[in-house]
Amino acid sequence: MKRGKKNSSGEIVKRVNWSDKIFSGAVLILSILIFIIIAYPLWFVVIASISNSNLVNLGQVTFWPKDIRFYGYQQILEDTRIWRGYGNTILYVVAGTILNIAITMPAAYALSRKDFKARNAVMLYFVFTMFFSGGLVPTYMTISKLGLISTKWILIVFVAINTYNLIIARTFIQNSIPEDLYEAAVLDGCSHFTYFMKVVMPLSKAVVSVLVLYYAVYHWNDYFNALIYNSKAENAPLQIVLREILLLNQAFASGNGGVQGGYGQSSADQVKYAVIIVSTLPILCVYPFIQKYFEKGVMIGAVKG
Amino acid sequence: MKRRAIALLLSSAMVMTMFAGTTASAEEKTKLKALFIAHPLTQDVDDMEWVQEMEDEANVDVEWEIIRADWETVKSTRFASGDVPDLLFNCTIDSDYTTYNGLFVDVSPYLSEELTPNILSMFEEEPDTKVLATTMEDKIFGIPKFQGKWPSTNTVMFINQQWLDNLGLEMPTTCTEFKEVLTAFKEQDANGNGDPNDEIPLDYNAYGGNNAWFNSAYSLTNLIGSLGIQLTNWGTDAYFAEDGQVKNYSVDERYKTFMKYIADLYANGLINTNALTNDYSAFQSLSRGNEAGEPIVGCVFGWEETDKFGPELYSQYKPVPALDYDIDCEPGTYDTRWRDDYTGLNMSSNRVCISANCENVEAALAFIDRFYDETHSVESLFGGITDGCIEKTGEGSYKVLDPLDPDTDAGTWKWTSTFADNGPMYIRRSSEIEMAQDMTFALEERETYNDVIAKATTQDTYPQMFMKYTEEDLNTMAITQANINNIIDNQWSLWMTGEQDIDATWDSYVESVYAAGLQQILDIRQAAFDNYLETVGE
Amino acid sequence: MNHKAENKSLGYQTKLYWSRNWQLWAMLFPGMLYIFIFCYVPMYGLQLAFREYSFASGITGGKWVGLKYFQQYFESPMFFSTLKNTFVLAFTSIVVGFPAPIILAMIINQLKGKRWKRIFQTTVYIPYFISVVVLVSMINIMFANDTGVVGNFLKALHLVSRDTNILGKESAFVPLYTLTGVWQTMGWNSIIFVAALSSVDTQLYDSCKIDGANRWQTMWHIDFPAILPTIMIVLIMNMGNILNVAFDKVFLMQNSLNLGASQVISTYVYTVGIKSSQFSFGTAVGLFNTVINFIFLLLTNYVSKRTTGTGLM
Repeated sequence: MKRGKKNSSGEIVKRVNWSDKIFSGAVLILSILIFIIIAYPLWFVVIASISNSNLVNLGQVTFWPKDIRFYGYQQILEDTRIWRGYGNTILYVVAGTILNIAITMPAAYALSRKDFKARNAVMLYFVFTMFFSGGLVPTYMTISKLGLISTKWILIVFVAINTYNLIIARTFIQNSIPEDLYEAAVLDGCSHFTYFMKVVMPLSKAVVSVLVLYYAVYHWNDYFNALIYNSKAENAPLQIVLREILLLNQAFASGNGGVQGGYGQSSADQVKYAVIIVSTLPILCVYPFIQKYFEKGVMIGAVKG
Repeated sequence: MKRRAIALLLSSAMVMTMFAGTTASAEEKTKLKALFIAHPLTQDVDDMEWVQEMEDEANVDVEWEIIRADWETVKSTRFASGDVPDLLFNCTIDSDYTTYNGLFVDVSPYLSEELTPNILSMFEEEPDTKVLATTMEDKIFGIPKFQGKWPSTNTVMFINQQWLDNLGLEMPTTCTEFKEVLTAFKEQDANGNGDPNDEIPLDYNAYGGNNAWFNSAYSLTNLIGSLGIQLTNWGTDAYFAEDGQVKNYSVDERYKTFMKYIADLYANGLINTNALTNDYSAFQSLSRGNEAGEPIVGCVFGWEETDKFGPELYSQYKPVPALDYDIDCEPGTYDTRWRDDYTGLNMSSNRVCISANCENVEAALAFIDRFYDETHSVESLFGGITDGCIEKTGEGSYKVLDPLDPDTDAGTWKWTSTFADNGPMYIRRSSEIEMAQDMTFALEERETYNDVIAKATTQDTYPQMFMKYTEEDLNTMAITQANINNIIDNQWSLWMTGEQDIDATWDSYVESVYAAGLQQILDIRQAAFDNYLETVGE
Repeated sequence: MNHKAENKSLGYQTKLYWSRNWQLWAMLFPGMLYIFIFCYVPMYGLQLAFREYSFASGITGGKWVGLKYFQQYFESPMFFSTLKNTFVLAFTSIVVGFPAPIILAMIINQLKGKRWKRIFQTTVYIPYFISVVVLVSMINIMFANDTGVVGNFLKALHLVSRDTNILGKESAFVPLYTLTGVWQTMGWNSIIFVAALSSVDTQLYDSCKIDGANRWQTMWHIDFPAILPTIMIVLIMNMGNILNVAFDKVFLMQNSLNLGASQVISTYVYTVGIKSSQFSFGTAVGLFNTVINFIFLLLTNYVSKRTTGTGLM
């Protein structure tokens, strides 16, 4: 009996190895395919940002840049508004995201407590606002009454908590932090505050890093709120400045007798592509730092088991 | 970089003049807040010295807020919540005064020889501007502009004369000849580069939503004049007038005929198939030739040739006269027309208005009136004298100077350095202005169309901006028109590309447009047009 | 003595319970306060759907007209077509777009090479950072008739017939919208699943190995159930957003040829409600949209709770 078992399990191991190899190969090929599909258009943006725009529009730029020029970058970087925009955006991203995490995580913890009777009602309170909103005008008037229109504060505070992210955090805490820990903590006389700070937060690095990424990108890309709730040039974030630069090139389509002329048509669209790169690169640089925590999250998972 | 340096220099000069100003008149200046919806290129108003001078003249101190993008989206929020400054430059359209009834000041009681001499002289010398400004209730909210130097049509159809010469062809004058020329462009190597297939015979622009087929200045619908339909000021949403009757050509039999002609051109591969989805930027760059700088577009619509074709190619293109329609009929069956945009190009309502938040309407009006001063008007359009944009060469005569930034052209410079076409102004017909090369060209090119445009009478000119409507009518029209556009903005492309047969679908198409409420709109518009004709004394 | 001690402990426990709950409420307070001020206070604006908007009398002072604007919408020729287009677009997006990030997350999780994994992961996230305006202009260039690189490639593979103008075909709008959407958001949306997978107990893998399961089986029997709650939650949220198709992308991708498939409720609300300042009509149509969304959310939540035990509420 014993021998037979050993044999069969040995066979299984062999077969597993073989099928695992195919599996690994398939995964690798699939990932390469996806990589090409995702990466090519991005590469295209890069080469389009330094090629003659006429040739790009004619479809002659495919794999390598043609008739290289840096007019787009030059236009953008010469613009002093850009630098102020960067400064503002960084402020909104950093301050805004800190506030987001400080508000979302405690709320998510409270909602994750199964013994908290009011949790469903409170959840509904949050979820309801995902669907029903009073509309722009009443929201604007409310913010106006608070005296926050055209201040830096509104762009930090607005969307201080996002229900979607709240639900993500709640689900994570509920499913990934073992209830035993809570019971042990209660026995030790821990309060919710201490338990949250000492146990939940350290174990939630993975989800916190996800939230940081979600919120930070939201703040980074936020254009609409800045458009509506701020009209002071000195508070304008990067996206507003870039939008103005983008519009330079499509301003006369309605033909009001204006002349576009020498804005260098053959380079005009370069600005568009350069804008993507200028506005995307910095937030991309944030990602590797956060990725570390993703990996830590994996490690915590291992320790926990 | 240079532009920045100049701006810096000018602003430091400005600080000095401001300083001089404050010491001279230490008494209280009225503080005003203004919002200006500027072109994305336009610099800060604080950097325009001539505006500063006007503020001193009117003894006011204006705090400027500038919005350069997406005002359409922001506007409803700002207006509905009442959060607007004292002065609103280029912010409003007629319907705002009814929609946001009470948010704006009726300035008509304030207009007087002492306070607003320049505005009054505009109303007197160019009575159309007063008609434009006055609402149904005889109120004046927005003050219009008049810039009498602009041509009478926005659009010129250009053809590559060199291609015609290369192929031994004559300039086309009828629709049949036009098709022959386009066919030759397609089949032969018109640009002589050895590749007979890189020529695009006919290009146009009708992309970007908002019913662009009917509303774009450079759409193929420019050719509908060949069937005797007189377009006025862009002919927005296909409305036109004929013998005093308001009609919509999207349901006119002649439009059906026209679409068959277009579908035929398309089916023969004579129309750029990408134009459907090319945005304005792509539309512009196509006309500027290929990699080797060779022209690839044979015939296309544009504002002015250097703008459209660039410095290298523009001399190859010449304007095509308005074509006579002669498919299955004698030329002359239809009374050929070309679009007349004179009022649209030279007048514009609502350049500036005053909000109910303003505490000192007199001071605000006195400041506004400065914009309508003869010299300041020219400065408003072309840039300040002290800013180095124009020069006063004599009493009532001005010269537009070359851009201070040598890297830009005259058009770009104008939009950068001043209010340009967005500003309030009254350019006197008597003023003599020596303009930059592009404007001289624009005026010359349009001589081709002068005779045809002159055929338009008051009975078949339909300048929509002069029409006055009640709030209820405006609301009805807004929703109904959106529904109509949804049908007509889709159908033309299906016909042109041959996806649907025109004869087979025409009747049900017309029916559905009427079902969406066209008759209701026509009735409202007819009443307004009748009133208008009465006002102008027809 | 005994009695007293019991009493004391009971009292102590009640006190503990309340003090604990008090703390939970305190943790919820900032979030709830924010939501109250910025979301609930402005909700008085919803009555605009039932009132005739007039600036002079403000949002709350207009004449009460009941369901007039709803009726106006239901009776307009646009009602059926906008509703149909919205549903088609939304359902296709979910059917195609929802599984993609899950599959991607599983692939990421299975990749062995650390460097490749990192490069791959970082690359698939990038498209999300591109703004919609730019994305649409990229689409327009890459799928342009005759000259578009990607369009020509698809035609060369015979995936699309030679003479189709991809950008200008009504029937091509939905696939184009959906697939470019997958391209942009697949990587980003996979983050949540990657995070969930990262917390799977590795001991389970080991025991699986001992049991002789291959990797495919491990994935199917360990990974998938582990992230199922997350999947269900995300699905519920997506269903609740079903009619909220991305306004700006549809709007920018609209052209005359595809209008028959691309005029959706939100673009219609924008055209009429915002651009033409028909606030009441716009609010009414928007509210209709919202109510349908909410119904979908409740429905999915109910079904999910019954079948998998996971739900929002």
